[in-house]
Amino acid sequence: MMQHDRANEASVIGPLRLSFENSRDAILLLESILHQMSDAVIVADKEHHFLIFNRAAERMFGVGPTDTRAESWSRIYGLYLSDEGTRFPAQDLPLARAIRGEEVEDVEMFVRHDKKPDGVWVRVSGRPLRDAAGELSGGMVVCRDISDSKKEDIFRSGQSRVLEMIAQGATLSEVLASLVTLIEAQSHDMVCSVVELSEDGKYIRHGAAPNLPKIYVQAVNGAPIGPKNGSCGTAMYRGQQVIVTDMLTDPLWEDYRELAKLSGLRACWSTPIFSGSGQVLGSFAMYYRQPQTPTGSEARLTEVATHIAGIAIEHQRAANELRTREEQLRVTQAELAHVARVSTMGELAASIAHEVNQPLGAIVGNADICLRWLEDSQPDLVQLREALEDISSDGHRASQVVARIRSLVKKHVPNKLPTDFNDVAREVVELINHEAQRKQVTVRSDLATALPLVAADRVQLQQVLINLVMNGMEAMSEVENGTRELKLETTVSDRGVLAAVSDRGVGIKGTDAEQLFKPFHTTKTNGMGMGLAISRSIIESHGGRLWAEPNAEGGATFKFTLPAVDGEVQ
Amino acid sequence: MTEKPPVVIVVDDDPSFRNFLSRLVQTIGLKAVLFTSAEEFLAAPQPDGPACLVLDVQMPGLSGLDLQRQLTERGRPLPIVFTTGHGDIPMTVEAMKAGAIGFLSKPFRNQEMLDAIKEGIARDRESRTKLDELVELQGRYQSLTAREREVFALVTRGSLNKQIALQLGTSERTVKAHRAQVVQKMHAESVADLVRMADKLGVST
Repeated sequence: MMQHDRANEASVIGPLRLSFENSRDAILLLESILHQMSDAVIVADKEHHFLIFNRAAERMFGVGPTDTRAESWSRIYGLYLSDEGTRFPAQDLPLARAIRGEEVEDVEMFVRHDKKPDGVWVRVSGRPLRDAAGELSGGMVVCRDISDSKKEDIFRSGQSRVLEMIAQGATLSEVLASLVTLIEAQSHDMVCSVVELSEDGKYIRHGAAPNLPKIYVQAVNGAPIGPKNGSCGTAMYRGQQVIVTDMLTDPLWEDYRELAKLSGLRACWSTPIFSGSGQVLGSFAMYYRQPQTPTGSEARLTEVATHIAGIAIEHQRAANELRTREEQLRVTQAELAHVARVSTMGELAASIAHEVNQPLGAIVGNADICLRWLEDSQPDLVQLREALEDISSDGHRASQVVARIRSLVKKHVPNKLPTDFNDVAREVVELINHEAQRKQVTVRSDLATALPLVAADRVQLQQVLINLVMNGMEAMSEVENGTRELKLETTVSDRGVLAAVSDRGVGIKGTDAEQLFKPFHTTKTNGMGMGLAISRSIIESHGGRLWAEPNAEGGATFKFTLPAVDGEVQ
Repeated sequence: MTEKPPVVIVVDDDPSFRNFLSRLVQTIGLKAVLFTSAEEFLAAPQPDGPACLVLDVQMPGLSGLDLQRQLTERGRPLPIVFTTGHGDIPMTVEAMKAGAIGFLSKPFRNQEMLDAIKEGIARDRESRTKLDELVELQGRYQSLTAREREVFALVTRGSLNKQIALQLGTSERTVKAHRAQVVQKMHAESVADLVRMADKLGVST
């Protein structure tokens, strides 16, 4: 309308102009058109005197034309910026700008005054007016009420927000509370609630009802569903919408009449919430404090509410299921890890026996010598004391070995504590020391001087490291004695710790590297093939990564990362 | 000549076990020499008296079995008592085949160890005596002339004087004279004595 070109204007207005004998007729016609329009039309001269102020404008702005300057318009007509709270600045008002000679397109403003307490959203366009000489003579604006589409936009973005909450893993009660609040905001005098149906399909479970009386919510929570159990209980029982226009008279509320009276609620319309597969998950209800019959406008709100609530509840149940499964998986993995640990200890048994028998041998032998000395009439007490001191310190040594092994073999509940990974590496080197000697492997460790702490389960990390070291030694059993070297390295990485175990063994082909980590993949005759798979799952549960690389000079390097405790290097 | 006192050579990487063995052999009046590794022992001067080695099988670097092999290759195989924290059968068999006195798993009874050490020292003393005798015998053999050595070889093979003379292209009388020289220089009392000596010297065949 606003943007037609002059040629067109002439062709429409031209013939009309001919029929007017005097300008009064033209003005009357114009007036009648203006007053019929649903858009507000306002025209003012340079001095801000209103020349035209049609009926739609009076309805929209509550007050008719006043003899005021633009500075007062925002206050008089209740004009706000889109935050609904800040008065519209006078110099930015579309009419003021049009009077200054600007063309104004689609400015949104919020209008609220005594006659429109809820406010209306208005979209305004303005044009300057010029006289025959082309001089600025004033300005005009056309204002359209866009409240409906604006409301719709807000409602839609509210829905998106709730869906986003679901996607981001907000709790079900948070999601449902936001949903209920969103729906309630779309209508006056209406309070909503969402209830869930218990998994066994028998009871009502509280979902969200931020604005229902507490006593009512508590009474409903845990109530059974059935053919005559209020609105929600019956709706879920029937799997159909239940409209109760007056709770004080409806037979469905017979057993709950007192509760209704106490809560001050009169009407309750409840609509079941279904899952994707058609199973009843819960119910969405609208309450009024006076008897009320649906007008039809609520249907869409109900549809949106039940749809989103359905998604939220299904999402929650799927997440619960997933958590249960994950817990089961974790338990299974822990058991498997235990088995693997014990079997690793079996492989290590020979060297462990050595480590324990070493001090035991000295203990037994020294004790025997002491006994002999004691048979003398005058034993040398100094010698005796020295031997007994040796016995005591060897006893402690043996018990430390046993303690180390026990911590590895006993059933273990993972427990992550801030840990210096170098300590873990040193313990492992001690544990495998004799095994390395037996296999004639030189173990070199090159540990970084200051590692950031990692949140680690010590026993699990020991297991990973022992596994990698044992594998490395195994890989070198075929190579010539004297070149069997295993290197254990720790370095500070950009996000935490990088550990590497390199051997000079038979190596891996680059393409095979990932195969190694598949469960039951083994190259050993008596291997379970779980070691690397378990190691990887342990490292991943620590937020790290485990992988293998072939060495340029032969052999393989297994590397893993562990994030620092606070995510940054100290 | 007086014999040097016997020593027990302990090679073990575990300090407390070394101390214990040292203490143990002192109870029977023997002296222990302690080494922390096979390499350290090989670098040290060889004992000049009878000795017995007590070796840990598993050590960093050269293992006990490696050391045993090296000593055999050097032609001076010392008697060895092996100790181990955890022995396995193949290891024991290898060690015993190579002439080990014993293979004792820790913990062992002290008496077992002492018996083994005593046996080891006795064996070493014996082989030392044999060695000394051989050296003596070789000295005597060196003093023979080339012709006398020929006669010595032929006599110990059982040839008669006449046959020897024929073979060497000389007279029976000359052979007799050489033969008397050989018997005298070798301190032999009979032909049977000469045969035994030839056997020890490895010149009989």
